[in-house]
Amino acid sequence: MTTRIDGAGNSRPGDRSPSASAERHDKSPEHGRAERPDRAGARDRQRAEPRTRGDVARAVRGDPPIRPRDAVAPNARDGGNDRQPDRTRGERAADVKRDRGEPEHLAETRSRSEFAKDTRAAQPVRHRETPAHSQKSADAWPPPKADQNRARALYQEYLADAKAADASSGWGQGRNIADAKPDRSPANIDDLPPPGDKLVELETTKKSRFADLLHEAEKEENLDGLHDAVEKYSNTVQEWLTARPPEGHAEQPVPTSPYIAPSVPEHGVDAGNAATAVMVAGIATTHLVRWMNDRLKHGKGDHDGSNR
Amino acid sequence: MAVTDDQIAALHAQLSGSHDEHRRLIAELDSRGALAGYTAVVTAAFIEAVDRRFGPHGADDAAVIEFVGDVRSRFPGADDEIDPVAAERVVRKALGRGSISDLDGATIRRIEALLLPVLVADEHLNDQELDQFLAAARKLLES
Repeated sequence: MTTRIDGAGNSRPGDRSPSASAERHDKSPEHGRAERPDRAGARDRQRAEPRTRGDVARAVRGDPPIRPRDAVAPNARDGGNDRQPDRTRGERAADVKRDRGEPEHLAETRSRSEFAKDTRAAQPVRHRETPAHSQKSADAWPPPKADQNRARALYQEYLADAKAADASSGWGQGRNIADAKPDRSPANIDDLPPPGDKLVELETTKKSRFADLLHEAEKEENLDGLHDAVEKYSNTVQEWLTARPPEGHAEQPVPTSPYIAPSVPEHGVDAGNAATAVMVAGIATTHLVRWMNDRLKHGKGDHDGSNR
Repeated sequence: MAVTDDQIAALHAQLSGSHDEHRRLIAELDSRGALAGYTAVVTAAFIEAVDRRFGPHGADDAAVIEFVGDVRSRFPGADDEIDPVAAERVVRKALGRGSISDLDGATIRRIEALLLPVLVADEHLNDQELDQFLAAARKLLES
């Protein structure tokens, strides 16, 4: 927004009169600095633009000049349309620093490198938990020669103690009391009977199996005819087991030595046998004599016939 | 479960081949109304005999089928007396496998009564071993 001001001594936009320039020099924060005339003129042209009606009124009335922020507030409270012309962020920041009494040359922010440099110079970097000296020694590699020698000596001492303990006990590592190394772990009990807790578990299972089976066998409360049934089944099984031996082959006795027939004892000759023998011998003798007579008779007859 | 000595004695008589003694004791138990307890003794002995036959961990179903088939073929008339499917299911139930809830109690008792003497006869137990066997069955009853 531009402002035209009527009257002597008042400046207008683009006004380059010496009086206006001197007045603005009084309000400038940079007064007292030696400036080149051309730069001062350019700044005066820029500063002349944002003057408000309030500023102009004060200048007309001869009131002391006030800072731009103070001039804006009454207009803002009044809700008027007179507003301070837009100012750059840098100019507003410079105004704030001026209000706080800070030197204006610090208005420029520091770069990252400048900030880091200032921070390092202000305090040394320290590790949060580990002291600086121990952190340094732990990170150092290889460790100092003294530390290496001390660790080596401790390890040699440990080895000597371990060997001495083995020698005094008489046992080697992995060997049993008989100085034999078992070929399997002592915890391997696959081929051994079940341990006690397993036996208890088996008994419990057996009991439950019996209870279940008995429950099924007696689920009918009517047990009439049970005696007849038991007797019938008993008879049936008795017939089975007596008719045929139980499972397996029939026993065949096997002699441990070759079979030898028992010798027949020799009996003495009794009278009956002697009579029989005499009778048989008599009959045989009779038949022999008769046969010889016949032979003799036939032999004579044949001889006589041939002589004729 | 309470078990009496005469119930054990009746089963001992049957398993040892004393048929007349067994019949006498059974009749005596029946007269006293104690025959129902005898079926419990038979069931406990059947569990013990099955465990001894098939091992404490139980054999597979093939071994059970083979056993039932062998019994049915070994004795004359056994194939008519023993239903193979029901017998195999009862044996498997004794081993802790399967269900026989659809079988009636009479069938189960019949199979137990027929197979138990055969199982014990196959073990070829002497008198002392038979006593130990029945003691184990009694322990199972009283546990």
